[in-house]
Amino acid sequence: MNVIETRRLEKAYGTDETRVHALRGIDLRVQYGEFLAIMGPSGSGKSTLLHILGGVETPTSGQVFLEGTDLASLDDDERTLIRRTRIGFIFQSFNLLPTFTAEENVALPLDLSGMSAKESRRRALDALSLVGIAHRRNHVPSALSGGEQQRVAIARALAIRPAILLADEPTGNLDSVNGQQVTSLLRRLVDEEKQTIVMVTHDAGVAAQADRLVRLRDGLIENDVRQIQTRPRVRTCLFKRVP
Amino acid sequence: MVLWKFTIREVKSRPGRAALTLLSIVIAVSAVVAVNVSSSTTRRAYEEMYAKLAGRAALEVIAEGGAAYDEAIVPKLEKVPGVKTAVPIFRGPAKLFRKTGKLLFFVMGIDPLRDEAVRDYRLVEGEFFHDDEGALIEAGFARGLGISVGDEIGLLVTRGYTKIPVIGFLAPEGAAQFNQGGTAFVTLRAAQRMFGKPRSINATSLVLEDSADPAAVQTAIARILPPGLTVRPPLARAQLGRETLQSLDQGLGFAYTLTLVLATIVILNTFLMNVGERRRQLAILRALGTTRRQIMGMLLREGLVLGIVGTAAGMVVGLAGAYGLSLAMARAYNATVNALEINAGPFLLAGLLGPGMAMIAMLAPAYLAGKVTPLEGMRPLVAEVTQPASPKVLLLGIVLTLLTGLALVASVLGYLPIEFATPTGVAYTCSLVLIIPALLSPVTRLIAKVFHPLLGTAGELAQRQIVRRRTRSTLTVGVLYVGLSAGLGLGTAILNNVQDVRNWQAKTFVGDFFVRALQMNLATNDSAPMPESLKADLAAIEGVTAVEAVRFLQDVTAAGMQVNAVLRDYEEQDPNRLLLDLKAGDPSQVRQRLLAGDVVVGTVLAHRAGIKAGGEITLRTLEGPKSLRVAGITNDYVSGGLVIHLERAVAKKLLGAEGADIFIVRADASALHQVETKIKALCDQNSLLLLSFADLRRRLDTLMNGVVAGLWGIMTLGLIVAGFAVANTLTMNVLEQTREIAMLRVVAMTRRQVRNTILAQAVILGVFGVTFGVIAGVVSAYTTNLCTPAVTGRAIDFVLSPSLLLGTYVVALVIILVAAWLPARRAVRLNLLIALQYE
Repeated sequence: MNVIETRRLEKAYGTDETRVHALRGIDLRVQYGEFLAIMGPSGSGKSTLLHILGGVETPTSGQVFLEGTDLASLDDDERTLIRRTRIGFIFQSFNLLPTFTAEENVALPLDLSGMSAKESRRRALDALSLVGIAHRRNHVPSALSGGEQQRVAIARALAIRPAILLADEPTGNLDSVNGQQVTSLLRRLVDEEKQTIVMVTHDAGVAAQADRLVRLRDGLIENDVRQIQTRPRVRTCLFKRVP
Repeated sequence: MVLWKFTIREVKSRPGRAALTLLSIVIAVSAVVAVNVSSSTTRRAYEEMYAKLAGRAALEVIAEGGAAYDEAIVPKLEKVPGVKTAVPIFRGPAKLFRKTGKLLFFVMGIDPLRDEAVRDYRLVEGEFFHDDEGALIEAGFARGLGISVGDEIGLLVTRGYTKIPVIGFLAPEGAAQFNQGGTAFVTLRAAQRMFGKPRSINATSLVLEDSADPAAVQTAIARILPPGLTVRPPLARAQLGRETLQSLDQGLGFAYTLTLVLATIVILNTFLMNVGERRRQLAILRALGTTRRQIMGMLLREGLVLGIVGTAAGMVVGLAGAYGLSLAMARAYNATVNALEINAGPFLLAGLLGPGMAMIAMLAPAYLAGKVTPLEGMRPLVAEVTQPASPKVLLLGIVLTLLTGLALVASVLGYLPIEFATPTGVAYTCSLVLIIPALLSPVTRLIAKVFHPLLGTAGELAQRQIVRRRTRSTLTVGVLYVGLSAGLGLGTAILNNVQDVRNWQAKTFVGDFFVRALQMNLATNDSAPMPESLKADLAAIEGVTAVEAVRFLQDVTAAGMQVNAVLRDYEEQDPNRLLLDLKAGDPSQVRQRLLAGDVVVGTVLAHRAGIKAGGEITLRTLEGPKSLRVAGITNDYVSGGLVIHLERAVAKKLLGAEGADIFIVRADASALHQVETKIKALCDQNSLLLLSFADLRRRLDTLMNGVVAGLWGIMTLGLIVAGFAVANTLTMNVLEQTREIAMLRVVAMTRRQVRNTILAQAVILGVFGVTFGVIAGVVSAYTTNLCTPAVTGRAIDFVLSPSLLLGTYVVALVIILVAAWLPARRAVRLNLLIALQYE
């Protein structure tokens, strides 16, 4: 069953003379519990695709269905509510609020949706425990390492129990050890929590952890392959073209 | 709730910026509270002073000019239906002699048996009147001067010097508090003897029956009064003082309106910076599901909270300021401030203005914040591209400037009511701010070019950074421009007024020596008159060519208004030199016309009563209302221009005026020294003050210098606030340029060059804002000058002060450079490795 589906998705920027086509008709389906990696050279449209999937940007034409709702047909407030409840974001630069503690950062989207303080704290703590950083819950971001900050960001994305988790270069600002830990964490979330993840990355090693790899070039899907993971999953996979 | 937490933490994380915002609100709110509370406190203190004297009297009967009248009227007054008691009094000013000095004093002659029906007296030491001897004085005042019960005090009144024993002290309450306690209560008979007016009184206090209608009784009494007497509520006496207070109120009101405008611009700039700095975090909030409305609501709430906190603090500071201002104002009016007159009015006004100002200033930043997209939180920060000037804003600025400018010109030329001039002037000043964004690029480029030898490449880099942040730079230039234009407009108007006072004094009070009993109270015009017999003594001195007696008379009604009369001996003046600052009328005829019984009217009175030279004015005299021909209109500063000039001999007949407040002595130039020695001996003998023309000029200069010093104080305060705005802008620029500055430092720039780049931004912004402000200030001053005659009736020569212009320019630039020092130091001390990773 599809969590998200795009139909003939196009996105263009600029006016006539300076018009740039970032996406030229993308058809993509992501199923529940799937871990999809998107790769491609700079300017291929991978970030634009992720933003449209997350409802932070609207397509020039085409449709994006999240759990059956066309995001392109919603107004800003409706898309905001969907983001608040169904989509989790993980950013390359973590994007934690510097004046909030780890726990408060994780509880933020829950508080915004009107959940009681007690319940949001409980769920924030669960999410922090899930990513293994509950012991640092009272620290502000500046007191955490890059890897720890990214784990807090993942916990924040998970706390709302999203239908889909969108990760934009989640290991881009991390060293190899921390990058490895974050990748393993994402893999574990898919395997153990059945979390759907769409991840944009430049790192082939990170992409190799995904179940499926989509390569973009000039706004089009160049290839879309399913990767069969073996145990241990890290850096061991087989490739198989998706029908 | 979570957004509140976000707001509170953000405010806490930038205490300096929050403090600047709060400071702006506190200054504006405290100005509103201080001016309003002190104004009502002083007004109440002034009215209370007369209310205490009036006691339970609802009406009083007096003669025009405060002259004496026959006490036989009292029983007739008592028979008027509605009158319960009629109590006669004889009051008059005097000069009290003490070893420690001489001071203005009042003598109040009362009927001991009847006066308690009107006023309360509580004896705290000594005894009440047994016969017609002795005086009662307020205990605190007496003790302060080292007077004990049983002592004799020396008083100079119009009939000469007299001594009187102190028989008791009064508690500081009721009538005893009049003139801050400086009043001697004597029996009516003693006062009549002292002033040489047997069987005469100069006021009758009327206590009415509880059921009586004061207006009806007043009409009934007016019908039976002989010509020259008038009946009025006792507090009407305070009216003239209120007039003086009103002009002071207007000046202070203008000052606080200016403070409000400046504060709003500073707050707007600060909030815009806050939002700019938080842009990324706002984008994160948006990405995580915060709606536009929630973001806007969060920021408006932040503005409201800062507004409320700033208003609360401003009210406290304002109360302290009000106390200081009230003391200063009450001292000028010889009134006592017991407690501040605190009512809801000023606080409601401040309560609306403070948060309202903050909310209005927050509207635009909140709207901009609502437009922040989640994408901004997902992308790494990139250098801002230069913001272009909005054609819409420019068009709006041009249209508003033209419309408000036309309305202003129409008001000045009389096509629109003159009351429109102030609001349209303010709107015109603010409209020009909208044109600044379009001027920013060419003007700053020009300044950078002109200052290139001084600023070098730093100037070019600075210019680009200024243009890059167009809104912020516009608001900073706007603060400087609005502050300086209003300050210079006000400053030039004050300096022109000061010069006008000097010219007036030089034209009207011309003589070699001035003899007075005391320095006159400039606010209330109260003085202690001297006996007229002194004129003959002065004239008898060898070498004296003329002695002119001058008398200032209060309680005069002309054209239905309470005015002051200036009575002079025009016969004693040089026939070839008219001692008036004549604005209308034939100078060659005016002196003769005054001697013949005509009057000269002050410009302000003429304006209010619509009187022209050659016209007529009704003066209430001892013989009833008289229509007098107006020989001329003169500029005058006695009682703010609400004044009528008469020949003294004529006034004696019409108003029964006696005594002299000043003797102006003119002498042979060759005998000045000998004359001075002899006048000095005469003055010592009579304990009088002797002033030369130079002394008089020096005293006036001291007073005027105080006004000018106050003006500089206000201007400097305004510039310091503008300096805060510049420091804030540059700090923000430094923060934003952290990465670039680090990159430049790595590539080539020395610390000194970095500092110069930041200081160059201050120089360029400062030169732009200050020049623009000074030019606009000159225009504003000229417009104010054009409007003055229509508003006040006083035409004042327009003169630009080079020292004020140059001084303001230099002081403003110095303050701006000092304000830029901290941001420059911050830029210099950047840690390169950290700065290179700064986002």
